[in-house]
Amino acid sequence: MSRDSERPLDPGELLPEEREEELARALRAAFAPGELDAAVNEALIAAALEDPLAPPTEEEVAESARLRDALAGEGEHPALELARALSSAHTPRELTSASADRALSRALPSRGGPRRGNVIFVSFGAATLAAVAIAASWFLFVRPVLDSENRASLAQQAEDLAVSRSTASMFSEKFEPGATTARVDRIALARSRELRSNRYALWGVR
Amino acid sequence: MLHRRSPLLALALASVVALGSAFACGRAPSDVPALGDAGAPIDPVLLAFLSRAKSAHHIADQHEEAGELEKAIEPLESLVKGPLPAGAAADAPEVREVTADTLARLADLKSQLGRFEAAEKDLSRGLDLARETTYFRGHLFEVRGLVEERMSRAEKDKGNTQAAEDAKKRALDAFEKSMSIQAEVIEKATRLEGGP
Repeated sequence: MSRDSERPLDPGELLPEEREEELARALRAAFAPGELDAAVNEALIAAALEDPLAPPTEEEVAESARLRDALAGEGEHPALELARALSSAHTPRELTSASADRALSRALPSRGGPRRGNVIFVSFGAATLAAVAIAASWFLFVRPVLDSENRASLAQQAEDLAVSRSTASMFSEKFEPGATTARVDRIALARSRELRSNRYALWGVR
Repeated sequence: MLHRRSPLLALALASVVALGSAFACGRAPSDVPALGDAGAPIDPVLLAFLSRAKSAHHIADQHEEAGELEKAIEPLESLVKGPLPAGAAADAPEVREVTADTLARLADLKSQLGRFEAAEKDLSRGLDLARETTYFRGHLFEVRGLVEERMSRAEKDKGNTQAAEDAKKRALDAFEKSMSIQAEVIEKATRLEGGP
């Protein structure tokens, strides 16, 4: 993406076609992520395994503070627009009638041609009705289904998580005197691996 | 007109499809299990306790190797006296089992120093924590046998013949109980593996 393509849009200006397509892809991916390429998945795990619990670098802290301020309306950040778009795609806010009208008027702009009387009015009215029907079906039916699927997915993730349980099955022979430390080491190691697996599962990288 | 109407028709059709799909695929949210029903996943609080236990035993090892048994007791005592995990991890089997195993070690150390009463208190507490038939419970009875043997020798050295005999009998009982538990654990494991 060139610098020019990153400039903020003027009021009323439409996105260039290629940027629109790129944004649509990003929003689709945020809303309904597809399968992760196996090689990318491996690379992510390898990168994370290096030290998943390492503290953030100074640069990361500074950048996250800048982005946080920008999201709060103070200052600018190159990732601001993307962060807002992804956030809206993942958790859409309710559409107000004013913003629906605005979106509709941008999607179906008047070309400045001569008035077409009732035919245009009826057509526009039909478009509004169709859009309202879609919006209503979204809020009434589609979103609850997606929400319940999200919950189902979370519940499935929870079922996949390693849970706290007896360590008795880790030991196949009677305990030798003087070997308590080795046993505690073994238990701690096993559970620490499982905690890490749980974290990866919750991050969706397993 | 036809050209202008096509996208409108598509929009209307899309709304019908969306509504139809919603009805066809709709599931009540209550059909989906709640997250909390899945149990208690391993969490950092549990790991913090296990990490603390690990450190306590390694410190105790160093003191024990140096022959400083009193010093070896300190970190272990500190572990079993808390802080113990709260919330979901409070009753975690791992916490109970590691605490029980630590109490067995404490009893062993204390009995080597002649503190038999304190050793028995630790064993009783450990047996309360390790109620299931596991090697943890069997080990606690084994340590109780060792503690009673030491007590028997100590009483004999003091000339208390009857007390020495009583302790010896209790030691035998404890060892037998330990063997019985170990045998039960082995049998259970064999059954689970589909063996004879």
